[in-house]
Amino acid sequence: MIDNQTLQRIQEKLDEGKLPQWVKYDADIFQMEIDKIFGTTWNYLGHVSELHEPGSYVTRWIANDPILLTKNKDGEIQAFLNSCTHRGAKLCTTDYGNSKAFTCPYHGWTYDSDGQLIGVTAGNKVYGKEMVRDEWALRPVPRLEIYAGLIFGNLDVNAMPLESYLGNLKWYLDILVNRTEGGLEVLGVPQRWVVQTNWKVTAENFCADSYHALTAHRSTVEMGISPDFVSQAGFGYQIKLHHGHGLNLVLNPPGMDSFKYQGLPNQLWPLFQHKLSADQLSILEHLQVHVGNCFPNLSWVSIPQSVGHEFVTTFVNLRVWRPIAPDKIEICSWVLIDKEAPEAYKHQANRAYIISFGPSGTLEEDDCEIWTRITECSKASMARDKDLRYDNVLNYLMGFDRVQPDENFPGPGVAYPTWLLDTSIRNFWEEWLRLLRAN
Amino acid sequence: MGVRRTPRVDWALLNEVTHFLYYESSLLDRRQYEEWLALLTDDVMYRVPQRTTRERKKRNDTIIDETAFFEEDIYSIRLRIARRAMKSAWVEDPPARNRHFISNIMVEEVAPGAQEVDVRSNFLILRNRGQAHDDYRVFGERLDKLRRVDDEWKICARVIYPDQAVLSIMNLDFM
Repeated sequence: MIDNQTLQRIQEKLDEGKLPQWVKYDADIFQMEIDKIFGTTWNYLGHVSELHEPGSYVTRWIANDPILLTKNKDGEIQAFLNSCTHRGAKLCTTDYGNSKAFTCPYHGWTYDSDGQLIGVTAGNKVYGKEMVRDEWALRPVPRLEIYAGLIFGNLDVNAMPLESYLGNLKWYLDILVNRTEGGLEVLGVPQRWVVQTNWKVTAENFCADSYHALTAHRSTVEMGISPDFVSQAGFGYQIKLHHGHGLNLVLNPPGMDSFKYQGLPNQLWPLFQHKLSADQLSILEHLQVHVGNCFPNLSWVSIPQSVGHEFVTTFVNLRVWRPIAPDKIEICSWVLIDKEAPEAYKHQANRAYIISFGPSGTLEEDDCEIWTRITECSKASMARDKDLRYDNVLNYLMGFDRVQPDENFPGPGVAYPTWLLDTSIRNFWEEWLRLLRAN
Repeated sequence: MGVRRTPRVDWALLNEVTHFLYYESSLLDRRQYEEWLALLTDDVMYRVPQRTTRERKKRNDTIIDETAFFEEDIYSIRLRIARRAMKSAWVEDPPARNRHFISNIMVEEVAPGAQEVDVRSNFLILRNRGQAHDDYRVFGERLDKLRRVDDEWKICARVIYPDQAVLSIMNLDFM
């Protein structure tokens, strides 16, 4: 097990802008994360648009926990551990569908979309007064709350409300997910694939590591299909928020004003003006890329992309980095766009996502390769040494003690006047460590 | 006389199509993308819709057309190939070693003299990269529409149905 002294040593390094490499691959740390982070924080489960009508369901995960997310006959969204209360078998084994009832294949116990036990095989013949059905409903995820269509679950019954947890992040998320009356809708089903890396490697990348785009994604910049990160050199902001959340806002440099609202369809602009504050609207008007991470493992990106035609299209991508092992994640990645967008635009938005992200994405195919190499090297004995005898600490120094907040920025949280900065990534690791050290 | 259950085979056509698909996949394995592009028509549709796990009563409904791993036309295919040729396309340097195994080829009956044929095939793609001990794999079924253009076959549509709902391969090449 990891003792307090070892955790203290991580803190000391973080205070210097450094991170011991061993934390990126460690079985003990991984189990602590499952218990102390994924067991206590708000975890993204899905979007309201995925549950179309009463009886709709999807199956999801919170780390190791299989979750059945349903819409009951009254239209209320519910979440349960997807495990029969009788002997524990997995109850629903499909990805999604519509069903009034879920029957366990083992002994036939049947539950409705409220999780109530409505059927017990040969019930009256085999059970007497020892059986009180109300006590054997599906076990609900203790807390289930929704913000702007985003459904989150929390395994900790005493967790703070979702809105408090998101805090100032809401102001920034609204620019993407809460900018029209209709909100966003998920297109199709999420892409899912496995990558041999650690969930923190990918979360920190989306949290605030836009620096990597200058090198890792140089090819798409040179081809003119991605925004020109290289010559823009950090134009925009990095935002540091409570509870480990962070994001980068890559903005159009002056002189690029012909390209407004990320190229989103003109007919949406009045809807944005109606729903967003003047300050939020101004950011969206000049926005190129909105990328970040809601601690612990919900990331998003919105970026205009070309699919080989003259025009560019944008989309909102949400993704969960589900931890499976210290060196393994399953990525679940949704593409979303405003409900009010024209159907033709939705199709193009989907294509813009596909060509840039996911396992076939021109950006992400390079990322995945690199992320696995981080994990491969973090298994090294020199990297794994907890006494740091090989000075095996990684560099999170960009802007450390140098780049100061922009006091005039209109949004909440702490804003820095460049996204070429490690500040919000350190903030992610600070929160990670705080939770591991909490009793 | 019973009803014939197995479709009749035009052996000459099957041989021709089989050879075409073998040649085509060898170009992909050898990364001769420009030559591969020449085998696509300008109006080509290249799609990899997503597989999902559904209840048995929905077993013919496991493919989601709305979202996909590839949703390409000739422009985006050219763009992908051009990007992979760039110096900073890290996924290509050093390149992975891909091997296509194409089998179970069936040509749908067509009218005599038809300029297009529908072809079903199974695919298994194995990939090894760097010094890795483990290999990646992706497999499933393909539905191709081939068109005879100037006495040569070209692909005018390819739809690929992967058999995994959760891909175990971290990134995808053309299949």
